[in-house]
Order: sequence, then structure tokens, then C-alpha cells
Amino acid sequence: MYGLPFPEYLSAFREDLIGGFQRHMLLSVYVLVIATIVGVVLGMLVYRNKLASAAAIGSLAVWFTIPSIALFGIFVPIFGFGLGTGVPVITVYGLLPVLRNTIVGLNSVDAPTLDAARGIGMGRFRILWQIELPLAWPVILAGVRVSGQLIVGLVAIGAYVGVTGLGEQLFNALVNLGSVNTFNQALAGTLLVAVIALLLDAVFVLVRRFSTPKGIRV
Amino acid sequence: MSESTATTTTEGTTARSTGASRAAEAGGVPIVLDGVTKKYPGTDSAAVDDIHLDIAPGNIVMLVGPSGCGKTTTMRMINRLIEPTSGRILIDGEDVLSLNDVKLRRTIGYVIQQIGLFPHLTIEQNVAMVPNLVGWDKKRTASRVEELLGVVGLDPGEFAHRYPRQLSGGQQQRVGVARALAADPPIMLMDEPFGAVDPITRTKLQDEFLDLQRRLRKTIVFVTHDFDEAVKMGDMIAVLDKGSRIAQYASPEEILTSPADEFVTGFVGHGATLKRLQLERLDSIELKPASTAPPGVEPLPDRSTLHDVLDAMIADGQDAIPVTRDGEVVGTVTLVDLLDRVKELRAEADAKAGTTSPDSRPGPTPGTTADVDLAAGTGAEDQR
Repeated sequence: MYGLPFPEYLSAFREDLIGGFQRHMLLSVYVLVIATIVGVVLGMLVYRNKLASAAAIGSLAVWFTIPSIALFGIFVPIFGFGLGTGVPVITVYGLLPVLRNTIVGLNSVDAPTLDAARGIGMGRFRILWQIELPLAWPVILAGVRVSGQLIVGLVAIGAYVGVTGLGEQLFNALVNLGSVNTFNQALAGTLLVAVIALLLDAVFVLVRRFSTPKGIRV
Repeated sequence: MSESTATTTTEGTTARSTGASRAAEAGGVPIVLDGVTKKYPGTDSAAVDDIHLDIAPGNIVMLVGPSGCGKTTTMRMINRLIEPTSGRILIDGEDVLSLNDVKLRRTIGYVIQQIGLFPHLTIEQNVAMVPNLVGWDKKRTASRVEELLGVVGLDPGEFAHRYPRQLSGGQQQRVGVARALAADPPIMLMDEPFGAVDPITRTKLQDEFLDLQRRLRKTIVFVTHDFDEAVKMGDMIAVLDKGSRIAQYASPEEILTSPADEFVTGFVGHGATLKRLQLERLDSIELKPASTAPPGVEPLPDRSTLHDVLDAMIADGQDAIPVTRDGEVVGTVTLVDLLDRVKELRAEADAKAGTTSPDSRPGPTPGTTADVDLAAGTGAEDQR
């Protein structure tokens, strides 16, 4: 019923598991990078405008309320089975935390600091680049971190539309529920997804430490 | 306005000759506000209504008035942080509205009450910001930063690489002043720069800034709601009413001695006579020989104001206080001499104001409140 003992399962299916782990991790990182770039750039474009900020955050929030399975289903007929659907859908999910934190972070810079920056003759772009962005950076990074966790989980669900990663393990376990090794599959898949999430988080702790300007490090 | 460029040069020379600042400092240039108006859309009355103001080069002009009178708006239009609705602003004869606003601001020092240092940059980087913006080379910027930190009383070795949050409020505002002075702008705009620090630090910063200004001779527009600060810091004071209506634009002495109207009188407040004493230095009084000084009394330096002298007399319960120059006791000032001087001042003021009030009235005695009457020539009825 339970098939192999867990350690033996791991060694027997080592190559599958390692392959899944690698694909899952790389895909998560790629999607996160895209979501971060798009989210930060979008945030920089809209943060000064209340209406545009609200519109950007609002439309993504609506997207957020739709279950990912449903969206995958909607986009498969358009983009096809596999990464063509998986990557864009997951990226849009990943955008929200990044975008929201970018907008909030850029707007949370102290008014007197900005007044002084303008008053001594810094232009709008220079203020964004040299003052607002560095000061908002910890907040933006927190958004990217949340987004990373979200994406790792969504890549697993992406297996439903052919995004190959550890999700396959999980879905096989569900589909073959009750047959040999399903428990092992579920356990291995879950543990490895958790490992990716933790690894990513550890990277963020490091990035945060080395990229936060010293004067505002807490 | 253009003829005053000559003045600028001579003032620059004065600054150098003190030897205290190594770099050549540019003196101030004149500023003219000509019918400047700011009206925000959707409001009935203008925030600033047709203000005309001539600011001489090298002067500190205090814009003083109750909150909401438009004094900050007026100041912020000079560097175009706020765009005037109409009117002209001329700096050294040039209309600022014809200039690029960002580049304009690099030539105007800017100091605000909340300081607004950049928290993620070191003190050095904060001060170097404007020199970097105007494209100074690294070496020149570095030596300028070091010099300026010294000028504002911060040891470069100790502070250059610190971050703003590691400094006290007073130290931060010193950096704020250094940042504003960094690229040696001929003009400074200061919006209640010493308003957020404790009274002791404020007095110290004010005194040091006045010392600095004596050397630099910048043209400074200084906003405050504190009339005492205006009297202390200003070469000229513009008392502003709602809509930046200039109730009076005159020297501190003149405003104290002959306030133009009820509004100014009200703003000057009680104790104008005492305030007047803050403007008069001890060296305007002929001293008695040092030997007449009572023993055991703490001496005062001859740069003290008459207000300081009176304060010390009351505090010590003495009617004579020894005076020092460069640490040496050079004489004694007595209460009688001080009162005589006050009488003289009143006579001068009355003569200037062209009033007919009698000179023979008794001088104000310390402790009584002569208040604004010293000036106004309203008679001395309220002498008690």
C-alpha cells in the first residue's frame, strides 16, 4: 500500500526528484525576476499618480481573487499547454506584492527629505533614482520576498497545465491516490518545495543585508 | 539691479580677508519681488497678494508673521518650489521665471526646519550633493566638504562618515546649513531653520550663524514666526499680514521704535524696550574704570548686548558689572550709564520718527514695562 520506505523511495527516484527540484527552482527564479522587474518599473511609472496607482493595484488585486487553477484553465486554450500559459499567469500573480510595495515604498519617503531634495536642485528623475528608490528599497525587497514564496507555490500548481517541476510529484500522488508510493510522492514533493522556499528566503536575507543602504539599516 | 555686481565683488574680498574661509566666498546678490502673487485654483483670496520687496545684497531679510500669512509661500516662490501666478522675481536682475527651475535651485541655498537630510547618505555625501550636481571634481568637492564641516563646527574626521540618524538635531541642522552652503550660493532661503531644536541649541546656532554670515555676506531670506528671532537675526524685517501684505518693511530698530500700525504693534508684542536692548552692543557705552567694579562679579565680554548686561545685573543684584575684551577686564558698566544710553536711543528714535514727544521723560526703569511706547512717541503715561 505505501510502497517503498521513504529513504529508499528517495534514492530510487533520485534523478526524477533532482530534475524536478532544479526545474522548479529555476523556473521560480526566472518568474520572480520578471515579476520584480515589471513590478518595480510599473510602480515607478505610477507611484506619483494616485489614480494610476489605485488602478494598477486594483486590477491586480482582482486578478488575485481568482483561483490560479481557474486562470490556468482560461489561458490554456489561448497560450497552449505548458510554460506558455504557466509563466505569464504566475508572473502576474507575482506582480502584486512587488508592485504594491514599490508604490507604498516610494510614497513613504519623508516629505521634508523630498522638499530638501527639490530645494537644492535635484530633478525628478534624480530624486527617484538617488533618494526615493534607495529609501524604498527595504520595502520593495519585502514585496519581492513575499512574491517569491507565492511563485514557488504557484509553480507547483502549474503542473496542472504542464509546468514541469515538483508539482508533477504532487499531482501524481493525487491522481493515483491509494496506489503504491503515492504517500512517498506527496511527501517528497512537499518537502522539496519547502526546501526551495526556504532557500529563496535565505537568499533574500543575504540580499537585504548587502543591498540596504547602511544609513537606514535597522 | 545690475549695478550691484560691484558690491558683490567687494564683499567677496571682505570674506576672504578674514582668512577663516579658505575658498573664495561669493557675497550676496540683490533680490526683487515685483508684484508677486500666488493664487491657488479654487480659492477666493490669494495666498500671496501682490507683494513688492527689495532685498539688498548681503542682507538677512526676515519674513515674519502669523501662521498662514503666506511667508513660506513667498519664500518658496523665490526658488520656484512654488510657481507664482503673476509678478516678477529678479535675482541679480535676472527674472527667475526665465531660468530652468532645477538649475536655478542649485544656485540658491535651501534650509528647512525639518532639515531633510538624506538618511541613506553619509554626512559627507549629503554636503557634497550640490557640488556633485553642478559638476565639481572630486578633489574640489572633498576639500570643500571638509572645510564646510569645520565652518559649521563639526569635526570632519569625526562626522564625515556618519549617517544623519547618528547625529543630534542641532548637529543635523549644522549639516543642513553646510549642505546649503556647499556650492557657495549667493542666496540662501531659510524656513524656520532653528525652529525644531531646543532653546539653548537654538541660541547657539543663531549666534554661530550670525558670525558666519558676517563673513559670508550672503543674501538671506529667513522665514520665522518668532519676532524675537527676527529682531536678533534680521538686517531688515518684513512683517507680513494675511496674503503676505507687508505691514512694515524696516530695520529691527525702526520696527521696535515706530511700528507702522496696530498689526505690527500687536505682533511686536510686549517688552519692545527690552527687545530693543538686544540690538545694542555693550561697546556703545562709555565704560567706567575697571577699578570701580564690585569684587566677585562675573564679568561680561564687550560683545554682549545691553539686554545681556541688564539680565546679568538683575540676576546678580549688582548695579555695576566688569567688562572684558579678549579676556582682559577693560572697564565697568553701570546701571546709570545703561539707562542714559536707553534715553539716548529713545531720543534718536523720536527724532527719526519725527514725533514731538518730549525727550525729558524718564528712561524706562528695569522691571517696569515701558513696552512699545519707547518708540511710538505715544508719551510715557504708563511709566510706573
